[in-house]
Amino acid sequence: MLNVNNLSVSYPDGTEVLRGVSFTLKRRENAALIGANGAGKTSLLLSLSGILGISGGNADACGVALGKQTLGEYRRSIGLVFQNPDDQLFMPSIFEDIAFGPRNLGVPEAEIAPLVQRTLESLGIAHLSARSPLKLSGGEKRLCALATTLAMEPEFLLLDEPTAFLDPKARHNLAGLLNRLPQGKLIATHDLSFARLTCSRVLLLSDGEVSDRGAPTEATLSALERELVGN
Amino acid sequence: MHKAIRELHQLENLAAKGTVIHRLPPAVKLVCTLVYVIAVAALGRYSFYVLTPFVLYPCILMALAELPYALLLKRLAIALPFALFGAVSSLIFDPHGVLAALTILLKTYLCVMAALILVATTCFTEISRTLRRMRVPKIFVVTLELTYRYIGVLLEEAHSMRTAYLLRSGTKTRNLEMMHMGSFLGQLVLRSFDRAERIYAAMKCRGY
Repeated sequence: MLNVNNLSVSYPDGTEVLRGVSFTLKRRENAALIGANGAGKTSLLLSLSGILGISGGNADACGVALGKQTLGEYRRSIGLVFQNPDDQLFMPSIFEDIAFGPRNLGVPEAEIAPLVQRTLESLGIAHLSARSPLKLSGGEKRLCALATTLAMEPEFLLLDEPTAFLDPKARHNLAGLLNRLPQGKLIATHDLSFARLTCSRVLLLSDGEVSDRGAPTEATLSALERELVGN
Repeated sequence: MHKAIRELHQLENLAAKGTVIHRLPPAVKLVCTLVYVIAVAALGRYSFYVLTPFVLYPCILMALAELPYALLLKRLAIALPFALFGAVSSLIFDPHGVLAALTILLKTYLCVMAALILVATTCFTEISRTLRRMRVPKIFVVTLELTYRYIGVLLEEAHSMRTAYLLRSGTKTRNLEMMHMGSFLGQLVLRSFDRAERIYAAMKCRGY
Protein backbone atom coordinates (compact mmCIF):
# COMPACT_ATOMS: atom_id res chain seq x y z
CA MET A 1 0.00 0.00 0.00
CA LEU A 2 1.18 3.54 -0.80
CA ASN A 3 -0.18 5.93 1.80
CA VAL A 4 0.02 9.67 1.40
CA ASN A 5 -1.17 11.80 4.33
CA ASN A 6 -1.50 15.56 4.29
CA LEU A 7 1.56 15.95 2.08
CA SER A 8 2.74 19.50 1.44
CA VAL A 9 5.49 20.64 -0.89
CA SER A 10 6.94 24.12 -1.35
CA TYR A 11 9.42 25.37 -3.91
CA PRO A 12 12.63 27.00 -2.65
CA ASP A 13 11.12 30.44 -3.38
CA GLY A 14 8.31 29.70 -0.90
CA THR A 15 5.52 28.95 -3.43
CA GLU A 16 3.36 26.20 -1.99
CA VAL A 17 2.61 23.76 -4.81
CA LEU A 18 0.94 20.95 -2.82
CA ARG A 19 -1.23 21.63 0.23
CA GLY A 20 -2.21 18.64 2.28
CA VAL A 21 -2.48 15.95 -0.39
CA SER A 22 -3.91 12.66 0.89
CA PHE A 23 -4.73 9.41 -0.91
CA THR A 24 -3.89 5.72 -0.87
CA LEU A 25 -2.89 3.44 -3.70
CA LYS A 26 -3.28 -0.31 -3.31
CA ARG A 27 -1.04 -2.93 -4.86
CA ARG A 28 -2.21 -3.90 -8.35
CA GLU A 29 -4.36 -0.77 -8.52
CA ASN A 30 -4.00 1.77 -11.35
CA ALA A 31 -4.98 5.35 -10.56
CA ALA A 32 -4.91 8.30 -12.96
CA LEU A 33 -3.64 11.65 -11.72
CA ILE A 34 -5.36 14.39 -13.70
CA GLY A 35 -4.72 18.10 -13.42
CA ALA A 36 -4.12 21.24 -15.44
CA ASN A 37 -0.65 22.25 -16.64
CA GLY A 38 1.30 23.52 -13.66
CA ALA A 39 -1.11 21.94 -11.14
CA GLY A 40 1.81 20.08 -9.53
CA LYS A 41 1.47 16.55 -10.95
CA THR A 42 5.19 16.22 -11.65
CA SER A 43 6.03 17.80 -8.27
CA LEU A 44 3.81 15.22 -6.56
CA LEU A 45 5.54 12.35 -8.38
CA LEU A 46 9.00 13.79 -7.63
CA SER A 47 8.20 14.27 -3.94
CA LEU A 48 6.77 10.74 -3.70
CA SER A 49 10.10 9.50 -5.13
CA GLY A 50 12.05 11.46 -2.51
CA ILE A 51 13.60 13.81 -5.07
CA LEU A 52 11.71 16.92 -4.05
CA GLY A 53 11.74 17.56 -0.28
CA ILE A 54 8.38 17.67 1.48
CA SER A 55 7.48 20.53 3.81
CA GLY A 56 4.71 18.80 5.71
CA GLY A 57 2.75 15.57 6.10
CA ASN A 58 4.09 12.10 5.42
CA ALA A 59 4.03 9.15 3.02
CA ASP A 60 4.88 5.50 3.29
CA ALA A 61 5.22 2.65 0.82
CA CYS A 62 4.78 -0.95 1.99
CA GLY A 63 5.20 0.25 5.58
CA VAL A 64 8.47 2.14 4.99
CA ALA A 65 8.15 5.86 5.68
CA LEU A 66 9.46 8.51 3.29
CA GLY A 67 12.25 10.18 5.26
CA LYS A 68 15.96 10.93 5.17
CA GLN A 69 16.97 7.85 7.17
CA THR A 70 14.80 5.39 5.27
CA LEU A 71 15.08 6.94 1.80
CA GLY A 72 17.12 4.07 0.30
CA GLU A 73 14.71 1.40 1.49
CA TYR A 74 11.65 3.52 0.61
CA ARG A 75 12.88 4.08 -2.96
CA ARG A 76 13.22 0.35 -3.53
CA SER A 77 9.45 0.07 -3.65
CA ILE A 78 8.91 3.14 -5.86
CA GLY A 79 9.80 3.36 -9.56
CA LEU A 80 9.51 6.72 -11.32
CA VAL A 81 9.18 6.85 -15.12
CA PHE A 82 10.02 10.34 -16.41
CA GLN A 83 8.03 12.22 -19.02
CA ASN A 84 10.99 12.49 -21.38
CA PRO A 85 12.79 9.13 -21.86
CA ASP A 86 15.96 11.02 -22.84
CA ASP A 87 16.25 12.12 -19.20
CA GLN A 88 15.97 8.56 -18.02
CA LEU A 89 18.16 6.74 -20.53
CA PHE A 90 21.56 8.14 -19.63
CA MET A 91 23.93 5.25 -20.36
CA PRO A 92 25.50 4.52 -23.76
CA SER A 93 23.54 1.31 -24.35
CA ILE A 94 20.14 -0.01 -23.27
CA PHE A 95 21.75 -3.00 -21.55
CA GLU A 96 24.00 -0.77 -19.44
CA ASP A 97 21.07 1.50 -18.64
CA ILE A 98 18.86 -1.29 -17.36
CA ALA A 99 21.80 -2.75 -15.42
CA PHE A 100 22.48 0.62 -13.73
CA GLY A 101 19.74 0.38 -11.06
CA PRO A 102 20.21 -3.28 -10.07
CA ARG A 103 24.00 -2.73 -9.86
CA ASN A 104 23.41 0.16 -7.44
CA LEU A 105 21.14 -2.10 -5.39
CA GLY A 106 24.04 -4.54 -5.05
CA VAL A 107 22.76 -7.31 -7.34
CA PRO A 108 25.77 -9.61 -8.02
CA GLU A 109 27.34 -9.11 -11.46
CA ALA A 110 26.58 -12.72 -12.49
CA GLU A 111 22.84 -12.10 -12.07
CA ILE A 112 22.80 -8.79 -13.97
CA ALA A 113 22.72 -10.13 -17.55
CA PRO A 114 19.86 -12.64 -16.94
CA LEU A 115 17.89 -9.96 -15.06
CA VAL A 116 18.28 -7.43 -17.89
CA GLN A 117 17.34 -10.09 -20.46
CA ARG A 118 14.26 -11.12 -18.47
CA THR A 119 13.11 -7.51 -18.13
CA LEU A 120 13.60 -6.80 -21.83
CA GLU A 121 11.77 -9.99 -22.81
CA SER A 122 8.83 -9.18 -20.54
CA LEU A 123 8.35 -5.97 -22.56
CA GLY A 124 9.06 -7.65 -25.90
CA ILE A 125 12.14 -5.52 -26.64
CA ALA A 126 15.00 -8.02 -26.20
CA HIS A 127 16.36 -7.00 -29.63
CA LEU A 128 17.15 -3.49 -28.34
CA SER A 129 19.64 -4.61 -25.69
CA ALA A 130 22.85 -3.56 -27.46
CA ARG A 131 21.40 -0.43 -29.10
CA SER A 132 22.22 3.14 -28.22
CA PRO A 133 19.26 5.23 -26.96
CA LEU A 134 20.18 7.84 -29.57
CA LYS A 135 18.94 5.63 -32.38
CA LEU A 136 15.61 4.47 -30.95
CA SER A 137 12.11 5.64 -31.85
CA GLY A 138 9.91 7.43 -29.30
CA GLY A 139 7.91 4.26 -28.56
CA GLU A 140 11.04 2.15 -28.13
CA LYS A 141 12.58 4.75 -25.82
CA ARG A 142 9.42 4.78 -23.70
CA LEU A 143 9.52 0.99 -23.24
CA CYS A 144 13.25 1.07 -22.45
CA ALA A 145 12.71 3.80 -19.84
CA LEU A 146 10.00 1.61 -18.29
CA ALA A 147 12.38 -1.37 -18.37
CA THR A 148 15.08 0.54 -16.45
CA THR A 149 12.58 1.00 -13.62
CA LEU A 150 11.03 -2.49 -13.77
CA ALA A 151 14.47 -4.13 -13.48
CA MET A 152 14.58 -2.79 -9.91
CA GLU A 153 11.36 -4.69 -9.15
CA PRO A 154 9.39 -1.87 -7.49
CA GLU A 155 5.99 -2.36 -5.86
CA PHE A 156 4.64 0.91 -7.26
CA LEU A 157 5.18 2.72 -10.52
CA LEU A 158 4.80 6.48 -10.85
CA LEU A 159 4.44 7.43 -14.51
CA ASP A 160 4.68 11.02 -15.71
CA GLU A 161 2.75 11.56 -18.96
CA PRO A 162 3.50 8.09 -20.33
CA THR A 163 1.67 8.77 -23.60
CA ALA A 164 3.79 11.83 -24.50
CA PHE A 165 5.65 11.32 -27.82
CA LEU A 166 3.67 8.14 -28.66
CA ASP A 167 1.73 7.34 -31.83
CA PRO A 168 -1.73 5.70 -31.47
CA LYS A 169 -0.37 2.17 -31.89
CA ALA A 170 2.42 2.61 -29.34
CA ARG A 171 -0.11 4.25 -26.99
CA HIS A 172 -2.48 1.29 -27.39
CA ASN A 173 0.34 -1.20 -26.75
CA LEU A 174 1.47 0.73 -23.69
CA ALA A 175 -2.07 0.63 -22.27
CA GLY A 176 -2.14 -3.17 -22.68
CA LEU A 177 1.26 -3.47 -21.07
CA LEU A 178 0.39 -1.28 -18.07
CA ASN A 179 -2.74 -3.36 -17.51
CA ARG A 180 -0.66 -6.56 -17.46
CA LEU A 181 2.06 -5.32 -15.08
CA PRO A 182 1.30 -6.29 -11.48
CA GLN A 183 2.60 -3.11 -9.79
CA GLY A 184 0.30 -0.44 -8.37
CA LYS A 185 0.48 2.58 -10.65
CA LEU A 186 -0.08 6.30 -10.35
CA ILE A 187 -0.35 7.64 -13.89
CA ALA A 188 -0.10 11.42 -14.31
CA THR A 189 -1.73 12.20 -17.64
CA HIS A 190 -3.74 14.68 -19.68
CA ASP A 191 -4.98 11.86 -21.85
CA LEU A 192 -8.44 11.11 -20.41
CA SER A 193 -9.20 8.23 -22.77
CA PHE A 194 -5.87 6.62 -21.80
CA ALA A 195 -6.93 6.99 -18.15
CA ARG A 196 -10.13 5.18 -19.05
CA LEU A 197 -8.20 2.36 -20.76
CA THR A 198 -5.79 1.79 -17.88
CA CYS A 199 -7.15 3.03 -14.56
CA SER A 200 -9.84 2.03 -12.10
CA ARG A 201 -9.81 5.38 -10.27
CA VAL A 202 -9.28 9.03 -11.12
CA LEU A 203 -7.61 11.53 -8.79
CA LEU A 204 -7.91 15.21 -9.63
CA LEU A 205 -5.10 17.52 -8.54
CA SER A 206 -6.29 21.09 -8.35
CA ASP A 207 -5.27 24.05 -6.16
CA GLY A 208 -2.63 21.92 -4.49
CA GLU A 209 -5.11 19.31 -3.28
CA VAL A 210 -6.15 15.88 -4.51
CA SER A 211 -9.78 14.79 -4.73
CA ASP A 212 -10.90 11.26 -5.55
CA ARG A 213 -13.36 11.23 -8.46
CA GLY A 214 -14.01 7.49 -8.48
CA ALA A 215 -14.05 5.21 -11.51
CA PRO A 216 -13.29 6.77 -14.93
CA THR A 217 -16.73 6.32 -16.44
CA GLU A 218 -17.74 8.34 -19.46
CA ALA A 219 -19.86 10.63 -17.26
CA THR A 220 -17.01 11.23 -14.80
CA LEU A 221 -14.51 11.97 -17.55
CA SER A 222 -16.73 14.37 -19.45
CA ALA A 223 -17.54 16.21 -16.21
CA LEU A 224 -13.80 16.37 -15.53
CA GLU A 225 -13.07 17.62 -19.00
CA ARG A 226 -15.64 20.40 -18.63
CA GLU A 227 -14.10 21.32 -15.28
CA LEU A 228 -10.57 21.44 -16.75
CA VAL A 229 -11.64 23.43 -19.79
CA GLY A 230 -13.41 25.85 -17.48
CA ASN A 231 -17.08 25.75 -18.48
CA MET B 1 24.71 20.75 -36.86
CA HIS B 2 22.93 18.01 -38.74
CA LYS B 3 26.29 17.07 -40.20
CA ALA B 4 27.81 16.81 -36.73
CA ILE B 5 25.04 14.41 -35.66
CA ARG B 6 25.59 12.34 -38.80
CA GLU B 7 29.35 12.22 -38.22
CA LEU B 8 28.77 11.05 -34.65
CA HIS B 9 26.67 8.18 -36.03
CA GLN B 10 29.34 7.48 -38.67
CA LEU B 11 32.01 7.15 -35.99
CA GLU B 12 29.75 4.73 -34.09
CA ASN B 13 29.06 2.73 -37.25
CA LEU B 14 32.78 2.44 -37.94
CA ALA B 15 33.20 0.70 -34.59
CA ALA B 16 30.80 -2.03 -35.77
CA LYS B 17 33.12 -3.24 -38.58
CA GLY B 18 34.91 -6.59 -38.32
CA THR B 19 38.58 -6.05 -39.28
CA VAL B 20 41.60 -7.51 -37.45
CA ILE B 21 41.90 -4.35 -35.36
CA HIS B 22 38.19 -4.32 -34.51
CA ARG B 23 38.40 -7.93 -33.35
CA LEU B 24 41.30 -7.27 -30.93
CA PRO B 25 40.27 -7.41 -27.25
CA PRO B 26 39.22 -3.89 -26.11
CA ALA B 27 41.63 -4.02 -23.15
CA VAL B 28 44.60 -4.48 -25.53
CA LYS B 29 43.54 -1.51 -27.64
CA LEU B 30 42.89 0.65 -24.60
CA VAL B 31 46.26 -0.11 -22.98
CA CYS B 32 48.14 0.36 -26.31
CA THR B 33 46.47 3.73 -26.84
CA LEU B 34 47.25 4.85 -23.29
CA VAL B 35 50.92 3.78 -23.52
CA TYR B 36 51.26 5.41 -26.93
CA VAL B 37 49.70 8.72 -25.80
CA ILE B 38 51.82 8.83 -22.63
CA ALA B 39 54.99 8.07 -24.63
CA VAL B 40 54.23 10.81 -27.18
CA ALA B 41 53.31 13.35 -24.50
CA ALA B 42 56.38 12.55 -22.37
CA LEU B 43 58.91 13.29 -25.12
CA GLY B 44 60.71 16.65 -24.94
CA ARG B 45 59.47 19.92 -26.41
CA TYR B 46 61.95 19.87 -29.34
CA SER B 47 61.59 16.17 -30.13
CA PHE B 48 60.07 16.65 -33.57
CA TYR B 49 62.55 14.31 -35.34
CA VAL B 50 62.29 11.62 -32.64
CA LEU B 51 58.51 11.78 -32.99
CA THR B 52 58.38 11.21 -36.75
CA PRO B 53 58.52 7.36 -36.60
CA PHE B 54 55.47 7.49 -34.31
CA VAL B 55 53.43 8.54 -37.37
CA LEU B 56 53.57 4.90 -38.47
CA TYR B 57 51.21 3.88 -35.65
CA PRO B 58 48.10 5.75 -36.88
CA CYS B 59 48.96 5.01 -40.53
CA ILE B 60 49.29 1.25 -40.04
CA LEU B 61 46.27 0.98 -37.74
CA MET B 62 44.05 2.98 -40.08
CA ALA B 63 45.07 0.84 -43.04
CA LEU B 64 44.42 -2.40 -41.13
CA ALA B 65 41.12 -1.17 -39.70
CA GLU B 66 40.02 0.24 -43.10
CA LEU B 67 39.14 3.62 -41.60
CA PRO B 68 38.34 6.58 -43.87
CA TYR B 69 41.12 9.13 -43.47
CA ALA B 70 38.94 12.15 -44.29
CA LEU B 71 36.41 11.53 -41.51
CA LEU B 72 39.06 11.16 -38.81
CA LEU B 73 40.91 14.26 -40.04
CA LYS B 74 37.70 16.26 -39.76
CA ARG B 75 37.29 15.12 -36.18
CA LEU B 76 40.94 16.03 -35.58
CA ALA B 77 40.18 19.61 -36.62
CA ILE B 78 38.33 20.10 -33.29
CA ALA B 79 41.63 19.88 -31.41
CA LEU B 80 43.44 22.12 -33.89
CA PRO B 81 42.60 25.56 -32.39
CA PHE B 82 44.14 24.55 -29.05
CA ALA B 83 47.28 23.18 -30.72
CA LEU B 84 47.57 26.26 -32.94
CA PHE B 85 47.37 28.53 -29.92
CA GLY B 86 50.26 26.60 -28.30
CA ALA B 87 52.24 26.59 -31.53
CA VAL B 88 51.86 30.34 -32.11
CA SER B 89 52.88 31.06 -28.50
CA SER B 90 56.02 28.96 -29.02
CA LEU B 91 56.87 30.85 -32.20
CA ILE B 92 56.71 34.12 -30.28
CA PHE B 93 58.28 33.17 -26.95
CA ASP B 94 60.60 30.20 -27.63
CA PRO B 95 64.18 30.66 -28.95
CA HIS B 96 63.76 27.48 -31.06
CA GLY B 97 60.21 28.47 -31.92
CA VAL B 98 59.75 26.66 -35.23
CA LEU B 99 60.91 23.31 -33.89
CA ALA B 100 58.79 23.67 -30.70
CA ALA B 101 55.72 24.70 -32.73
CA LEU B 102 56.10 21.73 -35.10
CA THR B 103 56.52 19.39 -32.12
CA ILE B 104 53.29 20.66 -30.51
CA LEU B 105 51.35 20.21 -33.75
CA LEU B 106 52.74 16.72 -34.35
CA LYS B 107 52.10 15.64 -30.75
CA THR B 108 48.49 16.83 -31.00
CA TYR B 109 48.01 15.02 -34.30
CA LEU B 110 49.43 11.76 -32.92
CA CYS B 111 47.56 11.78 -29.60
CA VAL B 112 44.18 12.77 -31.03
CA MET B 113 44.54 10.28 -33.90
CA ALA B 114 45.34 7.48 -31.44
CA ALA B 115 42.22 8.33 -29.42
CA LEU B 116 40.05 8.60 -32.56
CA ILE B 117 41.30 5.25 -33.84
CA LEU B 118 40.43 3.66 -30.49
CA VAL B 119 36.89 5.09 -30.64
CA ALA B 120 36.47 4.15 -34.32
CA THR B 121 37.52 0.53 -33.76
CA THR B 122 35.94 -0.18 -30.38
CA CYS B 123 32.30 0.06 -29.42
CA PHE B 124 31.95 2.63 -26.62
CA THR B 125 30.19 0.25 -24.21
CA GLU B 126 33.20 -2.08 -24.57
CA ILE B 127 35.55 0.76 -23.65
CA SER B 128 33.59 1.70 -20.54
CA ARG B 129 33.21 -1.95 -19.52
CA THR B 130 36.96 -2.43 -19.87
CA LEU B 131 37.69 0.73 -17.86
CA ARG B 132 35.42 -0.59 -15.12
CA ARG B 133 37.18 -3.95 -15.18
CA MET B 134 40.52 -2.15 -14.96
CA ARG B 135 39.26 -0.65 -11.67
CA VAL B 136 39.15 2.92 -12.94
CA PRO B 137 37.11 4.82 -10.27
CA LYS B 138 33.37 4.61 -10.96
CA ILE B 139 32.96 8.40 -10.96
CA PHE B 140 35.30 8.77 -13.97
CA VAL B 141 33.65 5.97 -15.94
CA VAL B 142 30.12 7.28 -15.27
CA THR B 143 31.17 10.84 -16.19
CA LEU B 144 32.66 9.56 -19.44
CA GLU B 145 29.55 7.52 -20.23
CA LEU B 146 27.21 10.43 -19.51
CA THR B 147 29.30 12.80 -21.64
CA TYR B 148 29.27 10.36 -24.53
CA ARG B 149 25.55 9.71 -24.22
CA TYR B 150 24.53 13.38 -24.05
CA ILE B 151 26.75 14.79 -26.82
CA GLY B 152 24.17 13.45 -29.27
CA VAL B 153 21.18 14.69 -27.27
CA LEU B 154 22.75 18.16 -26.91
CA LEU B 155 23.51 18.30 -30.63
CA GLU B 156 19.93 17.36 -31.45
CA GLU B 157 18.62 19.98 -29.04
CA ALA B 158 20.86 22.66 -30.55
CA HIS B 159 19.79 21.50 -34.01
CA SER B 160 16.07 21.83 -33.29
CA MET B 161 16.63 25.24 -31.62
CA ARG B 162 18.54 26.38 -34.71
CA THR B 163 15.76 25.13 -36.99
CA ALA B 164 13.18 27.01 -34.92
CA TYR B 165 15.38 30.13 -35.11
CA LEU B 166 15.91 29.92 -38.85
CA LEU B 167 12.23 29.33 -39.56
CA ARG B 168 11.37 32.63 -37.93
CA SER B 169 14.53 34.55 -38.72
CA GLY B 170 13.08 35.97 -41.92
CA THR B 171 16.49 36.11 -43.57
CA LYS B 172 18.02 33.76 -46.06
CA THR B 173 21.19 33.09 -44.06
CA ARG B 174 21.84 29.54 -43.02
CA ASN B 175 23.53 30.50 -39.79
CA LEU B 176 22.80 32.31 -36.58
CA GLU B 177 23.52 36.00 -36.52
CA MET B 178 26.22 37.07 -34.10
CA MET B 179 23.83 39.32 -32.17
CA HIS B 180 21.59 36.32 -31.34
CA MET B 181 24.44 33.96 -30.50
CA GLY B 182 24.51 35.02 -26.83
CA SER B 183 20.88 34.29 -26.08
CA PHE B 184 20.98 31.12 -28.18
CA LEU B 185 23.97 29.72 -26.27
CA GLY B 186 22.55 30.98 -22.97
CA GLN B 187 19.29 29.16 -23.66
CA LEU B 188 21.21 26.00 -24.55
CA VAL B 189 23.21 26.18 -21.30
CA LEU B 190 20.01 26.69 -19.26
CA ARG B 191 18.34 23.75 -20.98
CA SER B 192 21.42 21.64 -20.30
CA PHE B 193 21.34 22.61 -16.61
CA ASP B 194 17.67 21.63 -16.42
CA ARG B 195 18.36 18.37 -18.16
CA ALA B 196 21.36 17.65 -15.92
CA GLU B 197 19.11 18.11 -12.88
CA ARG B 198 16.48 15.74 -14.28
CA ILE B 199 19.12 13.14 -15.15
CA TYR B 200 20.55 13.36 -11.64
CA ALA B 201 17.04 12.87 -10.25
CA ALA B 202 16.62 9.82 -12.52
CA MET B 203 19.95 8.45 -11.25
CA LYS B 204 18.97 9.00 -7.60
CA CYS B 205 15.67 7.19 -8.23
CA ARG B 206 17.69 4.19 -9.30
CA GLY B 207 19.84 3.97 -6.21
CA TYR B 208 22.82 6.12 -7.28
